[in-house]
Amino acid sequence: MTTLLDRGTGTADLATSAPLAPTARTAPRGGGVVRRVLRALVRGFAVAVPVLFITSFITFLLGVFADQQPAELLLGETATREDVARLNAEMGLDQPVIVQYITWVGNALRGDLGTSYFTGIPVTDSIIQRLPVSLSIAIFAFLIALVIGSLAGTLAAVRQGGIFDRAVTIVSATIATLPPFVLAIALIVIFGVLWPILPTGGYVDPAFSVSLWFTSLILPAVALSLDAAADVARQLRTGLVGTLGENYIIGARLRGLSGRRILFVHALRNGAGPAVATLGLQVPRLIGGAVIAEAIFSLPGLGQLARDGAMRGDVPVVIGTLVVTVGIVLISSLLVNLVLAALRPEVRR
Amino acid sequence: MTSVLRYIVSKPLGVASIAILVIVAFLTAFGGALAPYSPLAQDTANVLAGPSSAHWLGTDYVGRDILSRLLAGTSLSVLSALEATGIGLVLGVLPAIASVYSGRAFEWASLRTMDSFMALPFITFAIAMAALLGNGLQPAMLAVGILIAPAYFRVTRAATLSFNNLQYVEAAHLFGLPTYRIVAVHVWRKVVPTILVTSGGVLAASLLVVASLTFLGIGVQPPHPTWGGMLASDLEYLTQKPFGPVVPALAIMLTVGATGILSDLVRDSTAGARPKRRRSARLTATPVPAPTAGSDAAIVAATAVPEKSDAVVQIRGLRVATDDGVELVHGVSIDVPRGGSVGIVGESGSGKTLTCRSLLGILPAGVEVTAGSITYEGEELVGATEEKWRKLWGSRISAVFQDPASYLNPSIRVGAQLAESLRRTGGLSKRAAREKSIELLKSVGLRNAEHVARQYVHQLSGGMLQRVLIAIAIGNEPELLVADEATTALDVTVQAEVLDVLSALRRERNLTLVLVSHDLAVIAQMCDYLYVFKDGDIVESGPTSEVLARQAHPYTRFLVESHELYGLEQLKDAEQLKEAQVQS
Repeated sequence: MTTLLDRGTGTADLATSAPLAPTARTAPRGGGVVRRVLRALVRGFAVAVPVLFITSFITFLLGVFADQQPAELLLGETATREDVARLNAEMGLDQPVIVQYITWVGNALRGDLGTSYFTGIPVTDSIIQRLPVSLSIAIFAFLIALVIGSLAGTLAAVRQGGIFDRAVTIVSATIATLPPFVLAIALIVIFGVLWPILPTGGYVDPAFSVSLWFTSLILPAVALSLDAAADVARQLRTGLVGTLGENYIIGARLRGLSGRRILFVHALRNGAGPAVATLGLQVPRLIGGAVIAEAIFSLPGLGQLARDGAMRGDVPVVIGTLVVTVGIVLISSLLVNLVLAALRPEVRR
Repeated sequence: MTSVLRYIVSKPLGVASIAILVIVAFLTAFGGALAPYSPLAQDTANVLAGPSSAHWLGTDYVGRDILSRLLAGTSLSVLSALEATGIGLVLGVLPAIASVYSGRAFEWASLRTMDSFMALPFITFAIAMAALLGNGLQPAMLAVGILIAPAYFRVTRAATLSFNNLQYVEAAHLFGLPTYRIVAVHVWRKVVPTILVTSGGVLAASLLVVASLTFLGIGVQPPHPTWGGMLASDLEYLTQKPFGPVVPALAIMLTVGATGILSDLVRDSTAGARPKRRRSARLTATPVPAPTAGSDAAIVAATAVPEKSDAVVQIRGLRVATDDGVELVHGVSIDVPRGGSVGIVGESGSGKTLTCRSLLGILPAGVEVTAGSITYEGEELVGATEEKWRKLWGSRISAVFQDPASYLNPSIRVGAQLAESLRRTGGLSKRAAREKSIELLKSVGLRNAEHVARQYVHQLSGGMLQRVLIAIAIGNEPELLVADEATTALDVTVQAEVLDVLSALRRERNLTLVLVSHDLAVIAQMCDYLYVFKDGDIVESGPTSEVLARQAHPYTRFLVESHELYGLEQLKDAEQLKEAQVQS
């Protein structure tokens, strides 16, 4: 789904479209890598904080519009109107929305995301318990996408027009049209049914067995990563082909530099920008896609928590997981922008 | 519009995509009616059956006909995706146009809001919406629409902004047309194609999200047929029917793929015909017969060839042609004496740069040496491997070009690039390289060398960059420096300074110089030998003073005369004449 969206919008604006891309058109400035990164950090936070507030407010409003009556749900049909009113007052639900939101933000800043309507378990606890599962899959998938995407994209660009290049183009275009779960199912059919060598469901705590933890993550992570890998490969290939045609590459060759040095020092630095920006955009997709991977491979992650919570109308759980997920996305995007700032001093947005 | 259609139909993939989408559209409208069975009818005697005459695509786990469910499920998938796309279009396009025209506060708020939407994970948000706002596909589609809006917002805003600076829109502003009329009449027309192209990609993405949601069982209850739901139930019975998921997966893939390909083709066709190759588009080639033995050029060339022994470079009968067989250089011969300076003059497209690039081993893709030989110190360079070239580049042969900024890496400080070349090619230590680079920068006339070394390309002027490039080029003490239009883009005063640097280097380092220029004055000032190029041939050559005095070929005469007509000397003479007249 990624590639199709980006294709529609063109790739040139990718660098500007990462969620945290600063909007001010700053004049190019020099300065050391550290200063550039610090500047990007400050700018990133200036953008991330309002974004976090807006998203949390939107999700909070959702909860209000949801029109769930937690007090009635909790107390059952026999509850009197007075009981319901008393519980509502206790939970602060009789307050105006804005007051509720401010209270919620105040609590959230202290790490308290409320308690589940149904289980009474603090949302923060549930999230902390499930976060490692989702993070393991997402980080694993991210790494696979990074490694496979970079290798495929670089090789395709270096051997431009060759068989490998064409194969990469065809495979990545095909993957882009596949829903992520189709790939997951294909992997299950191949490695779980036809040639059963890998576990197709369940999660093993690394404290119990690192090797089992690792094998339980392989299929979900691979299924989740292929879309991102294809996208990274495509962006990197395009960026590198463009860069390798630049005069300064001819210049570097004429200075007698080795092909490897030209590729890694001169071409990648400038050609990798769109691919790095793509990786930043992939983060929300990886985390969103983790819901599906968790459903297919029955892994107890954040996505399942959100899905179960949503199915029951457990508003605090849904809002808590969404806000934490958005927080993770923002932090990842910030990191990507820092990498971009370190790579390219003259980057203009 | 018809040209877009013609372009799409000219591609086999385009025809296939249109065919698929027509079928999908037809099934969206009539799929339910075409189904041979009711999508809910259970044939319990035939559970999980393969294809048969009764059930063309087999049956599922309760014996429902898969073909019927597939046909009946089309409309829900397609209509939901269309709904999400429509919502995204409205929520993205209108704020985008408004953000350009209605003040900074709204601009800030809309940009932040769109950033926020982009940070929300699609599926999680859609699930939350679907569950919190009542179970059904509509809220989920609203969620997808909201999250897709930034895609429209970005492209529409970019298109509106770029368009807003155009002169006729500014003129409309000046004429006092109200903003809404400008938007309605002018902006809209420009933005619509962009929106159309974006919609293809967005629709494809929406189809995938709908499939994902129905797969997860969000919004649609199980017995109701959906493509995603069919996949999910097939997944349950994988062990009994491993290839069950193929049918719904193919339906999703083909629809999504066709939509994506079609939107790509539409974009390609509206992007306009891009030149296939930058080089060949620029080079104008007129086939000129090769010089025969008796022609002027051949005679002159033969007389001008200096002694063989002291030639560093010998080019003999060099022919350069494009891959599609157009010859651009028709057999030229040049000798470059050791320590000498050879000038090549001619208009753009005369083949002088291609000759130079052949000598440097950096012909652009699609252009090749087809005949002749180039020797450097007796070594044949035509067909040399990259390794062989690498031993020559930098340390023995070097070059500077017309647009100095483009020949330096924009992300690395210029001093570091100079030091890199000294270390990697010259084998100096890190420290020695740093010291030598400062020394080199000073030697090409950069006064504040330490400061310049710390700058990036965009912080230096063209003249300074050309000095830096010269410093890099001579850093590893090459014997031969090729300067291809190295001063063309510079101001006249800066040009004179850079030429002075080159002359000084020649004297001090015994550098052999090949200077390429369209400017006869530059060549005349710098070079001992002169070759005049026209249409891929050398029309005249010899020692500079002789060629200028003789002017045997009409083209040389033309070049000299243009200088006399338009050159500064002419004006100066006129001034002196005037002064003389005034005095007398």
